Amino acid sequence: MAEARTQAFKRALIAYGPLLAALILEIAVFELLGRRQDNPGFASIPNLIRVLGQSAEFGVMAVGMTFVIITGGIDLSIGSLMACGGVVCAMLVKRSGGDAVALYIVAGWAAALVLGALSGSISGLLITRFDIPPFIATLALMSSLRGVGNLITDGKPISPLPDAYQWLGRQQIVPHIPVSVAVFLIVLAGGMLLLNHTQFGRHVRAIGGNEESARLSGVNIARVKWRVYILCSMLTIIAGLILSSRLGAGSPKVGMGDELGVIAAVVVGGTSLSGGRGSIGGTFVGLLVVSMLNSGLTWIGVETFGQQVTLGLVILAAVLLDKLKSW
Amino acid sequence: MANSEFILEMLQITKRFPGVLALDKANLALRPGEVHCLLGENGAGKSTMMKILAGAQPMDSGEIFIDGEPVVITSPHHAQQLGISMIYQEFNLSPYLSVAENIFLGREPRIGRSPFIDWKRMYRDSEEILKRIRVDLDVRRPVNELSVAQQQMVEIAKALSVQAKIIVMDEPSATLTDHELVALFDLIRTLRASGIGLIYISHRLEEVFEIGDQVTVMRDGQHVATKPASSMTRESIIRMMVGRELTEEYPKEFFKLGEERLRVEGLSREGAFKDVSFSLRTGEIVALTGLVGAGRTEVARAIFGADRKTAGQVYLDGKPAEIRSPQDAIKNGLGLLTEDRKNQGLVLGMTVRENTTLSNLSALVKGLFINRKFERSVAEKYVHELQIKTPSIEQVVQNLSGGNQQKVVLAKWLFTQSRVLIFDEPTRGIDVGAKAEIFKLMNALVSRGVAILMISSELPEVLGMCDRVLVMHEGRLAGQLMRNEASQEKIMHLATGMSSAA
Ligand SMILES: Nc1ncnc2c1ncn2[C@@H]1O[C@H](COP(=O)(O)OP(=O)(O)OP(=O)(O)O)[C@@H](O)[C@H]1O
Ligand SMILES: [Mg+2]
Repeated sequence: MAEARTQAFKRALIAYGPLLAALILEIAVFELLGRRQDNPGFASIPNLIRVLGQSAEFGVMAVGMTFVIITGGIDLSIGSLMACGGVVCAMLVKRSGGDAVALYIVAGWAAALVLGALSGSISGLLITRFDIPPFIATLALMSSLRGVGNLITDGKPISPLPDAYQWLGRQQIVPHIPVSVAVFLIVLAGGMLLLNHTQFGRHVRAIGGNEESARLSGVNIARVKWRVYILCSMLTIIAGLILSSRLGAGSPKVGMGDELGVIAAVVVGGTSLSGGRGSIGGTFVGLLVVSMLNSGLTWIGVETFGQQVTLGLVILAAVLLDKLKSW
Repeated sequence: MANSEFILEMLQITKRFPGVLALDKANLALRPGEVHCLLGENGAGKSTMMKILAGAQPMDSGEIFIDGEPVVITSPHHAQQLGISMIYQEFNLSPYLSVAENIFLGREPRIGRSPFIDWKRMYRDSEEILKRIRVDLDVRRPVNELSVAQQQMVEIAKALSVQAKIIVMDEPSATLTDHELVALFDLIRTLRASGIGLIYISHRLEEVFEIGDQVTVMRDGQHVATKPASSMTRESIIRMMVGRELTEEYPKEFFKLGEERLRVEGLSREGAFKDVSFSLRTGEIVALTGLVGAGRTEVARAIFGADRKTAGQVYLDGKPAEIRSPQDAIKNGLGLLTEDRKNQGLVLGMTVRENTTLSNLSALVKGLFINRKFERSVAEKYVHELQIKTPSIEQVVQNLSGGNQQKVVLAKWLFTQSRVLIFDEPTRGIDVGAKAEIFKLMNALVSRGVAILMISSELPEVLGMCDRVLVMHEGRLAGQLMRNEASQEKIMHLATGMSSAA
């Protein structure tokens, strides 16, 4: 038993070692380059938590996306869906007119989650029943949902909203730890359990590894995929709610291009785009590598354009690293 | 300087994988114009040895001489240039390309010096090669539309299309029918006469005596012996392979016949088979045999819900069963072990443990989660029972030898606790010792009340293990033979459509 454990540890080290090393290197470099007299450094706990807080939305979506990608699929609709979720909730809360705000907020969340379930069902339906490739199905949805968001708001953000609206995105439950980070960590833990310890998770990996074998082994392919897209959409909505709460508004313009950022984090984390192989832990570390990089570059004064170039290089480096490993 | 009586010498070849010493100073020497049979149990290291020769895998240490000259083989391409051609145990065809495109993949004939493919020549040359091995195939058809046996022939054609002086065949006969086998052997004799050296791997020992000149036996990655085939007997080979005496190859046991488990009435699937009716009782093993393409696999798939049936009804335990998907089938206690393990049987990237439990995960779920400890014990149990050669249950099945992969598929279906099991070529690629173990396992299943339908092209095992033989011919049941009246001749008679009904 102890041997099995050390073996598992060794495997994990091989799997995450290089990425973790990259992460630590990043933090060290930014700490050194960004030394300032008065402020706490980049590597200080409050700053690291701040970065984690900024990546909560991305992280929640990345967990869902990991499931989708492991089945061999992709979901391009998340950026648009995320905006729609925030907008729907904000519209409802705006109607409260200051009375029973909490009730309206909860109702807003519920409405947004229903929207997410609906959107995920549509992707699932298109992909499993009509056999449309996930790329196409969710690309169509991405465009349509963006349109819906703009139509119902006339393209303008929904604001101002009551202060209570910012609970999810800004409230700190324990000093320094906002609700959003707690939600992210819960989603992360839940995702790990779901992928590694349930029948559903095993089926997800089997489908990505060899769909025909899985089918002939009695796995209900359509149902599993359907659930995967619903899961991803629901998590996307949660991300959308966090973002809109943090901004204090429901904007139809947010999240543009976020699907690619999320996919990048998942892939950097070692999940294979051809399906079957991947982990939530990897996605977490991948996400940290990407967001530490962005935040660190800002920290040392590199602006957006430079960040884009660097991110591209990091994605390439991570994928090359992965190739070397499987050699 | 090595002795150049040999066209090829491999000396002291060692290869280690994590947790496995696959080759341990193994030797092999091949003369021109010789068919050299390479034998050994599953996981003995045969394929690994050949992959090293073909440049598909590097060796850790050892020496290779070709025509007495030392060589360092760096890649499959390099091996080809050295005149080594390899037919892999697991096919390597590109599914959406045509037969001709696959045969000439990477060496497409071109119009003069232009970049354009000379399609006419490619088709003509492909047809010629196929004619040489007496295979009738449309060279324009995509490979994924072909049967396993046909794909095998394309592999062989591909190997022949390069000018090779050493040809390696890793279990080429596993998927061929007798008819195709005759053609293959003719071809091998022709190649031998032209001075080519052939290395031939097979688990069908009778083939050794038919075409083998020399025999090399391997065990646990080591060279055991090399002798002329004529100086050996089936028994002596088995002893060398297994390291002990094998008491019985077909340990048939008889049980009292019980009630009917499965009945199929008027089952049809357009374009595949028509009006198939039979039944299966507890206590018996029934064979479904016939030539490849007779529709055996298709019947099994339709019963199992993997393909739609166009007419007919399946009854389980006397009651009509609605089976629309493999899932329904499994729920109803029906299992199908498919013939194509790589594409339909296994998730190659998953571990032995995960593959073993895939069909029956719900049995391991406690509350919300899979009980890992229980799952591990299940996997350990089958690895032990089937003697699956693997460093641990956490090994990815991709890394197992062919025969051991097949055993994992078997384990998966054993774990489903099905009451009716359909085995489609269950012993393909499995060594003689392990075959006997699998047959014993079938006995144990039958004694527990499981009814078994075994699809097999191997007549000796059909005759050795089955109580009843159903023979198909061109999509129809041509007849049925009881154990005491069955013989190879009678089965072939029915299978080739020379007589109807028994
Ligand atoms: N890529 C790999 N990674 C790890 N282990 C491997 C790999 N390839 C082969 N092995 C191991 O090396 C050993 C020899 O395998 P090999 O495929 O050569 O056996 P074989 O004699 O061809 O068996 P079979 O008759 O079943 O085809 C086996 O124990 C196998 O599990
Ligand atoms: Mg082999």
